Amino acid sequence: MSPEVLGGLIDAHAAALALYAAQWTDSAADVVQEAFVQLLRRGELPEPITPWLYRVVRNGAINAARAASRRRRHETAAAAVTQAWFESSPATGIEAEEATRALEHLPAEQREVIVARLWGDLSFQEIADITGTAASTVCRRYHLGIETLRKRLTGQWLSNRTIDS
Amino acid sequence: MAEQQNNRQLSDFERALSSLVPRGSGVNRDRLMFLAGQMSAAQPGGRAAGLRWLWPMATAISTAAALFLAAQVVDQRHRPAPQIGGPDVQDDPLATRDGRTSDDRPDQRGPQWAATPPGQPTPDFARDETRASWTGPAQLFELRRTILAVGAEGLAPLDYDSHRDRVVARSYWDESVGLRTRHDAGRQDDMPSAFANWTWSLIRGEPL
Repeated sequence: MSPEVLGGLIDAHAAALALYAAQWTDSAADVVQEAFVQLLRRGELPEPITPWLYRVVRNGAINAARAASRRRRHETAAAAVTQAWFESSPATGIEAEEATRALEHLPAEQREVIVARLWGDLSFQEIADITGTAASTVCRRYHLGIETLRKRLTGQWLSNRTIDS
Repeated sequence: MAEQQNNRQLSDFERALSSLVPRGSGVNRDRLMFLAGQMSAAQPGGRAAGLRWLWPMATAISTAAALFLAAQVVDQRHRPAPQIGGPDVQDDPLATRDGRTSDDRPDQRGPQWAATPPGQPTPDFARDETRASWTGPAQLFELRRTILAVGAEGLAPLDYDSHRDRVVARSYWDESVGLRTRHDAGRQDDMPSAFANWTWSLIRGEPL
């Protein structure tokens, strides 16, 4: 694999993959890096590459979360404070911290689908392949999650929208 | 109408959500590039993989060959020297100036000739009585053995009773040193040889 191809993949997917891994673990960067290392070990690019990367990141993140949960029993609760998952951007009309909190309160299966769909640009079928569920189930989880987020964030979003317009 | 409004709001909300930019991945890009270069250099099936074992294999083969040859050398040094067939002629350190050899002592006898018949005493050419009776090839070989063992000076000066004895003795001597065969024993004219004459003079104790 040439450095140009690897650099392009990192630029295109690394941030969204880290966000995806953050659904399970705090060490999302390590998980994403390990996914790229696995890609390098393969020597050849899997086809299609994006679902493959998400599948590897998902497995790695779940494993990391299991290991972290064992460690965390002995750690203080202060260490569990999570960083915002998004960069602050007033133009979007949604606060990054609010969006992070809203996503965190979603059920894990809905949050996973929303992140993979909105920031990973994966189709419902690809998400279904990764999670091992039916595409209809994925679609239903997605709409349920979006509806929950909209209810939680709609006041802020609508007020910002009104100000903008 | 309300449902359409809701759907439009939902898709606008999705767009707003997706416009949120995830934080940096925190991936160490430099390290990944380094790993990529490292792995491409050690690509399985590549040229580098084939050459990886070349020098270790050459070293191992050379070491094995060196050890084998060293073992051969050590083995040859400890192996006894090969025995060449024939009589084992040795110096007789017990020989004395008066002509007595180790053959006189039954427990310290010198080398034996196969040509000597078993049961017969080994003739001693250093003695006059033996010298007077030597008439055959067995005695000739014994003479050679004695000369090789104690040297020509170990022989006593010869004293022949008749001209015939002298001629026969010289004939045997010439034959023993390879100058002529027994068929030539009676032909005096083609015998002359400076070396034979000189050696014969030595045996006889004549002045040169």
